Amino acid sequence: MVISLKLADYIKDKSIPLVLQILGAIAFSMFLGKERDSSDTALLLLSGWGFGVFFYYLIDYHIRKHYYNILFLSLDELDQKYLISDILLKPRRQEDILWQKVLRISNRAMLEEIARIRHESSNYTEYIEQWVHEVKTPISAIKLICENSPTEETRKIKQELERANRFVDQVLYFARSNNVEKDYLIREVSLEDVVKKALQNNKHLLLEKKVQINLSCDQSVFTDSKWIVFILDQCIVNSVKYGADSIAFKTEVKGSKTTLQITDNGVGIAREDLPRIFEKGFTGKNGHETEKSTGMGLYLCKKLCDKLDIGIEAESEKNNGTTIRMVFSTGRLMHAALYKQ
Amino acid sequence: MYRIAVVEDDRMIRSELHLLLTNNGYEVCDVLEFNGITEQIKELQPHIVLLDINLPKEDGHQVCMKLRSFSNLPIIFVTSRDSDMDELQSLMMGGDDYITKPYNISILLTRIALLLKRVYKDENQMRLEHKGIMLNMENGKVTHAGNTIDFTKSETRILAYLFRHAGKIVSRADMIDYLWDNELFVDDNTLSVNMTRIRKKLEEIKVFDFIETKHRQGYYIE
Repeated sequence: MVISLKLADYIKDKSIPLVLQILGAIAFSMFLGKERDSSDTALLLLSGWGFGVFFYYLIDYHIRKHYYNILFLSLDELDQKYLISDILLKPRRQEDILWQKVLRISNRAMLEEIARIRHESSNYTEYIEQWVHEVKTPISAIKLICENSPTEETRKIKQELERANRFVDQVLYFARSNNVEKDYLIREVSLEDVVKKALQNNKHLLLEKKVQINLSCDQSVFTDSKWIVFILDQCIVNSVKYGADSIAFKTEVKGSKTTLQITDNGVGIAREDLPRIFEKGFTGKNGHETEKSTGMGLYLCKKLCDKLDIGIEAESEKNNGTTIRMVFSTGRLMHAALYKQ
Repeated sequence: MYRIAVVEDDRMIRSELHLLLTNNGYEVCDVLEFNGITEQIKELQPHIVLLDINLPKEDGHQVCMKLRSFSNLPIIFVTSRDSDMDELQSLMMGGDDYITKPYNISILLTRIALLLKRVYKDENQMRLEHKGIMLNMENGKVTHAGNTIDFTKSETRILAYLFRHAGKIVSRADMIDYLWDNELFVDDNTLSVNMTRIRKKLEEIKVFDFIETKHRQGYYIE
């Protein structure tokens, strides 16, 4: 919708001077009407007055209309609309100058507020990162204690630790995904290595559920290995959560695209849910096998994939398993990697 | 006997690492004072150093750099920081390897053994012997009384695990656990199949009734 100064609105604004002019004209003609033989002169004067007023307002209306059109056009072309006050030329009217000052001061205040909030949020992210690393120390210690005295009990403890570690990682990557800085490192990554790493991260879960693993990954891509491992962790946990007892990992190359495919034989996803599974907090209508979903896992996967320039898609049939595909395009990231070196 | 210096500021992790490495046939010396770590290591003369990056007084990277200025001592970084930058920096500062917490002990032990073998040209690191049966973990060759037979990677690992736990009953669950730590993602059935094959191969080199099956408990070698 184009915003512009409407004539009716302009007239409404100028109503007081207009009414005064009309009243003046009536008073003038009443005054002259008492005199005889002067009606011609009166008519001439009145129409001269009328024309003068009419043309003044017509021209003024067009000037103002043009002024606002330029204003909205500049606003339209701006990506960051709050910078409008900085790019405008100095207006001619005193009142417009005042308005521009008001706008400038208020925008500056808002920019300061944004800077403050950004700073706070990056502080928060930093703290979360630090906290995660700190909490990993006791997790490691407990794990070592368990490994040093292997019993049935310590096996259960290790299983719970694995879960705790997963939640801790989720916090870490959530914080990382909101961060504006690019804190990843693009390197050549063997997809087999990252899949193995993810399987080991979820060893106890997979062994408890007796999940069969099929591995045929022989491709490498340019990406950040840790982020990919995290994404795979989420996929593995989801597969198990939705009743899979076999998961297959497969890589494929088509042209300049390498695909990593994770196929399970779980309960699958209902057709109407499929487009929404990457939404934050979406949990679907599936019966949950183990623990309740938070709807965070896949949302984070999507977010991280977007940051890393990886396509991620899901394919599924109800009661017939789910396939998650991660599509790496080789060309662009290779450049990014070389450019970073 | 190899001496390992552990530089780790967390008391619990340090003592558990100490126990673990001692149990696995290493001599362990702990660095308890975090001032002048390099001088202490110089004095201790270990064969290998496990080095944490986050230390109270000095950064692990700096310690590594100082050590590198006078020795080629093998150094493994053990850390809870998992950023790629850290890893790169560790390797650039002259670290030989990099392991993130929480780590698997079998991975840690394997990396230590591999590094010792590489640096000290010690072939025995990857060789195990039990009752006259020689097992070479690297090439999967099993020798007994002059006969040699080739084992697959998972067969080699299974036998190695049994060797290391000789005299104890090894449960199937622990065995599968260990195999997963070594990137062999086998399930119950595959383990049984592997076991049968190992027994057949051992018979071919004249080893009979070496592995016992304890009903409902697991496997056992004397």
